[in-house]
Amino acid sequence: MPEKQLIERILSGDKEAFRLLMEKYQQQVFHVAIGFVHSREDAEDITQEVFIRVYRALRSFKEKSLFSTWLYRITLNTAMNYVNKNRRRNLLTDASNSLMSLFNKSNEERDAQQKLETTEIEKNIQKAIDELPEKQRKAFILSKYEDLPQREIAEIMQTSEGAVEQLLVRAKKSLQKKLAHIVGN
Amino acid sequence: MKLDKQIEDFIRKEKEVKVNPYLATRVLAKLEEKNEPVVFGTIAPIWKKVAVAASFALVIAMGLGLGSMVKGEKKYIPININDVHLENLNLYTFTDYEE
Repeated sequence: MPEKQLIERILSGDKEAFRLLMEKYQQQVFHVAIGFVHSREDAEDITQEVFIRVYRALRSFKEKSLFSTWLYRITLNTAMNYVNKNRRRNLLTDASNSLMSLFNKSNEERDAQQKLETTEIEKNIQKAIDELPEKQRKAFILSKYEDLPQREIAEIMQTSEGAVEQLLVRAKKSLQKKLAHIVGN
Repeated sequence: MKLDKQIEDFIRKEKEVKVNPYLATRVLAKLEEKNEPVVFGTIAPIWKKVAVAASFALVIAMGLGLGSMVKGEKKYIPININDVHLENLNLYTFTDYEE
């Protein structure tokens, strides 16, 4: 069913049409969300929040841009809000995880060493992505998690293609700098 | 190069995670729970406009009502005051300092 028709049906009160719209876009929203939070549960919370916002604001969608562009904008805002709101909670979780790993270290088996190293690398990559400045992080996630072209990212972020290119170059440099010690190992 | 591959692998791994197939049902249930009409967006602005217009009309009606409650003639009290000394007109007519 064409998107426009789907939206018209939702606005006229058809909830089944909204289900179809969600099923069409939920994986995209989820990918972006997981890029921000790296956890299935949190990404699902964000995805849920995004679609509730979409439902409430659908009337204000003026079709000046593509629906997907509008949806990505809502996703980026919701994800950033979620990250900022949960920063304090994450700090506490990180601290408790560090303590737990300290206590459990003596019980680790040798064959698990490789797995542990991989997890450590992943944790470093995750941290490096999370520490990127907001705009670089948004551009990086849209580019890498959704494989969007720079033109589309520029439209979503309401900036120029050149600016997006710069953001992606800076994000890559920043990640390389922060993760240089991994390659060194 | 090795680092780029590690980053790519990390992202690929995260992208492999699939969204809960019941997510749409969960969202719809949430909306039902909050009992939100789909046409929320259309109703709200109309109600807002009506509310603003009604409040203006109410304020105007109250003003007119209160105004019309005041009755009776206006009383003017004549005051005989010789105001010659109230203001020193010499200040304006004094010409000593004029060239």
